[in-house]
Amino acid sequence: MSFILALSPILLILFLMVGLRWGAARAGGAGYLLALLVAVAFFGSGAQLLATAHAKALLLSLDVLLIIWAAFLLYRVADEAGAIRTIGQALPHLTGDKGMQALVIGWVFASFLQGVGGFGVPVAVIAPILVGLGFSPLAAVIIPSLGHGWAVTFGSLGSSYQALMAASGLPGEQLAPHSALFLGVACLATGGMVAHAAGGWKALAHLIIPVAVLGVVMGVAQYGVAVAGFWNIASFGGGLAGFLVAIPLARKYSGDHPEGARLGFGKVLLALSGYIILIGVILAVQLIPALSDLLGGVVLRVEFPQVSTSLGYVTPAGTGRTINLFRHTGLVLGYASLAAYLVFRKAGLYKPGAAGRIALGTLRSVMSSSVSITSMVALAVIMEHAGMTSTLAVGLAQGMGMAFPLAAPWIGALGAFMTGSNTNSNVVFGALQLRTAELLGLPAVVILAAQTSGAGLASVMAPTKVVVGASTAGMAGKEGDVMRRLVVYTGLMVVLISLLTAAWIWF
Amino acid sequence: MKSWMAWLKKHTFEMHSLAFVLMVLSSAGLYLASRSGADALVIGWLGIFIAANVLLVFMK
Repeated sequence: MSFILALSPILLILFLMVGLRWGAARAGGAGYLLALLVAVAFFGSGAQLLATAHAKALLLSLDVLLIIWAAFLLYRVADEAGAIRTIGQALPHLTGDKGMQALVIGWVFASFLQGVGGFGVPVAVIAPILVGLGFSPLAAVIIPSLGHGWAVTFGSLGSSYQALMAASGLPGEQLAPHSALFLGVACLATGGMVAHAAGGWKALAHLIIPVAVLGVVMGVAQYGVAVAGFWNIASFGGGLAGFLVAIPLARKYSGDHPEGARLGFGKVLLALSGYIILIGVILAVQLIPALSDLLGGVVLRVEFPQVSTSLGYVTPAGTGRTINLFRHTGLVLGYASLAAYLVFRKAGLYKPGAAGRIALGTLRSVMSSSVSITSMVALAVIMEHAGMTSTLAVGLAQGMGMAFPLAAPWIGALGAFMTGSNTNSNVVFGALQLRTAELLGLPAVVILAAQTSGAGLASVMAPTKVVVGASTAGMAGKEGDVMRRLVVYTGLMVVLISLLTAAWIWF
Repeated sequence: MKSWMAWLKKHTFEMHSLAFVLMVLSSAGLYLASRSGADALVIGWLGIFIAANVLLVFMK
């Protein structure tokens, strides 16, 4: 009975989002209210416990939201200058081969965009480009949707990964190797699926070499960057490495080049300058000790007392999430955004009133996800402090036993499907996966890698993302067709992660 | 009720902003109230956090 009660807020969110098609903010609010009710009425949570849980949740939310806000700000700075459009226009001129176009634009460029932007941007930007190149609207939505899934966890400048670290309390250095390894393998499989979606088995056979080369290059680059401690630019690094290899590779699959004038190298370089600045700023902050120390001077650290439920579940005293204010990834992105804005302004790429449009556009775009994350983080922290997460973990450990590694990616996938976000899935299920792994004596870093990999890959078929993608390719009202195709590819991908997780743990 | 829901839908951004500010302020208030051991204040701030989420539920 207590297992069902503990599960009820999660089931409610699932029902509201999938069954009734509520948005994440609305469903998150309802889930929070039910979690609070269950925590008080059935798990003995008192006023002090709830106050502590809410305050901790605020710190966790800010830790994740700072990155989301700044990542979107950087994207808006580049988009307002026309940089994203310029990069998108330059790519089709690399090759006239349809399958290769699908790989370069729908996989490599989609991964790059996910690395720097995310939030549904890859599909929204790429689907119209592919339609313009002659792909069917269905293929134009499917290809970038599949193409960016492997880059979601380390994408959006690491916001989902930050959420995994925040929810589990484990450092990024420990979580990175397995997460990046699983997603690297998924990257290779993604290339094959993109080629298949573009032209069936024939296209896959024709493109097997570029799929293998690009898959290995992007997967290894993401792994290397993530393990080196630069996890916030790991997807971006993977996408960039993919670009560097795709350019000469595409010439070997030239086909019939599309019409239209080629863009100059200088114009494309200027379009990319915002992201080049980002790399420079991140490297400077991480590698110059004096700068790192200077920015690391202000730390937001809050002490919390021990709290317990009337049923005896104890959460020990300790510090909540520590936020290194001026060295936080969100602030670092903010510095890069400001520098990029100045470069684009100096180059005369902005029309009058650009700063206002960037600020307002960013605010309007992030507010819905901000409230849904704040509600869902509060839900997750209340569940943890009330002992609900522990109850679920015990139930799962008893029910699944040593078969749990097979289920772990599916739990992450379910969370992403219902909340539309890898970040939200990690927030809601991160602690649960950790507890269950600990109870079963399984390596937590592998289970958490399975959680975030499953979540990232399945996030592409969340109803909220499918609606955005379908609308930009003229498929509005036919989201069901998109979903039917995506569910097969995505399901196979999560099966792959399940097998990898089980193999890693069992053998 | 219908016109009220329609008004909320028309002002989604403003209402989400209001809910967000209420949640942030009440979380900070909850921390301060719990430090001083004032249970009545805790319940008051909790009420504000709950109200923000009720507002979200009504946002179609």
